[in-house]
Amino acid sequence: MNTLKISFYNVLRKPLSALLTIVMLVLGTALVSVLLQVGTSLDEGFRKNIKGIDMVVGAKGSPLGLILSAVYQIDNPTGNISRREAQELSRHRLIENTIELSFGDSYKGRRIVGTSHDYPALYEMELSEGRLWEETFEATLGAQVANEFGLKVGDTFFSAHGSDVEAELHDDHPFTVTGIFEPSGTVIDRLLLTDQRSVWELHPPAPGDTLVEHNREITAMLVMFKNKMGILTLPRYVNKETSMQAALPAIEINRLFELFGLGIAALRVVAIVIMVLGGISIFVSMLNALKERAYEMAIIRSMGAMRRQVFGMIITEAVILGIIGYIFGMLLAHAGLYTLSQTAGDEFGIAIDPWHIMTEELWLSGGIVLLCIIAAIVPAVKTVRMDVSKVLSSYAQ
Amino acid sequence: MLQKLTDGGSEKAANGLPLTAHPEILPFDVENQPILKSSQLKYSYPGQPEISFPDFVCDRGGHLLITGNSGTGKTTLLHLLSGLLRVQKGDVEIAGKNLKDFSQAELDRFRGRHVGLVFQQPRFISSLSVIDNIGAAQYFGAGKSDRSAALGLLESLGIADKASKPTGELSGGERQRLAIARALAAKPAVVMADEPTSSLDDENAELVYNLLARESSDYNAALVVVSHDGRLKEKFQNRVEL
Ligand SMILES: Nc1ncnc2c1ncn2[C@@H]1O[C@H](COP(=O)(O)OP(=O)(O)O)[C@@H](O)[C@H]1O
Ligand SMILES: [Mg+2]
Repeated sequence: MNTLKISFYNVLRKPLSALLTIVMLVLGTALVSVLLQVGTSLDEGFRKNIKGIDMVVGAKGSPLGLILSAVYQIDNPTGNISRREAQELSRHRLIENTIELSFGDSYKGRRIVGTSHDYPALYEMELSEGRLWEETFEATLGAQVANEFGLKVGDTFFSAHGSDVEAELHDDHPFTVTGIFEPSGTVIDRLLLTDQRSVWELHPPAPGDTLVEHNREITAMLVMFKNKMGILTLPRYVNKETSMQAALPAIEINRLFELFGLGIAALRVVAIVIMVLGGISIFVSMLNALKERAYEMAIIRSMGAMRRQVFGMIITEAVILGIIGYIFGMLLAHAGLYTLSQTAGDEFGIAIDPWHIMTEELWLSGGIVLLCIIAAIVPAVKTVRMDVSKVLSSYAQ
Repeated sequence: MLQKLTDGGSEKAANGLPLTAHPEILPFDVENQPILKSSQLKYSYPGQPEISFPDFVCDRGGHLLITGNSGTGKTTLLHLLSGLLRVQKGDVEIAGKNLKDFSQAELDRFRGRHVGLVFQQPRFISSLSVIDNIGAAQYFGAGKSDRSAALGLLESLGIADKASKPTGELSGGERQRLAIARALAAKPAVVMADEPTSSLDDENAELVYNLLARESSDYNAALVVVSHDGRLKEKFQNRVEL
């Protein structure tokens, strides 16, 4: 028997009010934790994939749509552009390097991207087995794709037209897997990379088109500038002087995050309000119980407990509630994140490790314990200040 | 935040003060001292007339009855003797230690260790079971709980079968017994009881007195009873009238 045990039993004595407090602390904790985790992985996921890409060129349309489709491979492309026009642009003196992307086809919902070896090099991809594609209809797979469908080096598969899982198969041209990348946490994990010529061969030009290679169409081109001065002139040049559209990933993503950020900030306020309500619930239930507990506390004092022990007992009761609330809140949040990572996670291109605990989440435990201590201080001081003798004799009369 | 009281060996008392700085507090030598001595004791509540108490002494293991009509200050005296109220004028000595010399925290510890209290209304920590209430008294009084000693105590008071019950399920008589058991839990040098029999019928009053007397002798504790209950007068040789 000790004061910790007594505090624990005292918490259990009012199970309903303890439960109410704990539920509020759990919800507050869970919400804060999920917001922290999702906010950070969204942010990280999006910034990680921008890598060195200064500008994206594609068909006219929504600039955000172009970025989402060409950089993150989420949205449908805005259309195609002429390869010749793109290549003319790539000779501009402010442009250091470009990477062409041709996509549209898929394998079981995963995108097949026709490109050059520069694309995996941009993300510093490493091979876990096999080699990069060389010939047409060879493919190198992102780790997640390979894992998901159990594909190994030497396996073959058919691509489907469009990104629909149910879409019609190009069943005359099987692809052969030549290699598989290490997991990287970037967009490539979810892609099947191949040579551009494979994509072109699957989509023969409309009658009348000449089959000259530079006359083909591509979907988008990633652009790296020689120096940051390009930002000032190149997008305007492309948008005005060519039939193509240029978009800056950094700017579009910042715009996107301003919206996200507002939503997250609003939800964070809600989470904190819920937690503070948990603290208020501790405060109110302890103040309510003050009178009915006075005699018991006086008895405890008469048994030899010092003021500081009684004070500690009451604070401990609040801390117990806080710790239980925090633990179950974290369990709830991370169980939720686990579900999220199993379902929505890869669709939006964010990698969430549901069992990773952020430093901020550890700080949160301190915050909650502090909140509970603050809530219990006034009831504890009032209890300790009572006149033990008076309480004991008033009861007897 | 939690204070752990430890017996003997530890360097510090529960109040954080080194025990060596107050060697007079714990433990004490009771051999040649009266266990309880009150002299020139006076007390006044704010705005109330001063109550003067007669001088008296109670020997180690002895029995003392303090009587007086309602409102004469019996409860006040008991609270002064047990350190629940601070002495204003005069002196209370327990085993030669003047309670005036103690700080509030030291007084709490001293009371927990050496004084067992029985109140007219037996009330307990309701979130704890019967035996855990004894354990709490052992913990706050002696620094650690001792389950087998607690069980032995319940046994000698005939309520061992209720050990794991919540205190709310006890009958009136069982609550009185538990109150006595709790007073003895920390093996105090003196048991002080406030009107332990006043609300009971003759039969139960006799029973409770017998238990108090028997158990305090078994545990080598002196017994001080304050009461207006005339039935107790014949039981005590040593009596003080307020
Ligand atoms: N906390 C208190 N504040 C003011 N007066 C008190 C208080 N407690 C007791 N008294 C008064 O002191 C006197 C003695 O009370 P008490 O010690 O309870 O007497 P008894 O126990 O003999 O009935 C009474 O007149 C009572 O009204
Ligand atoms: Mg009284």
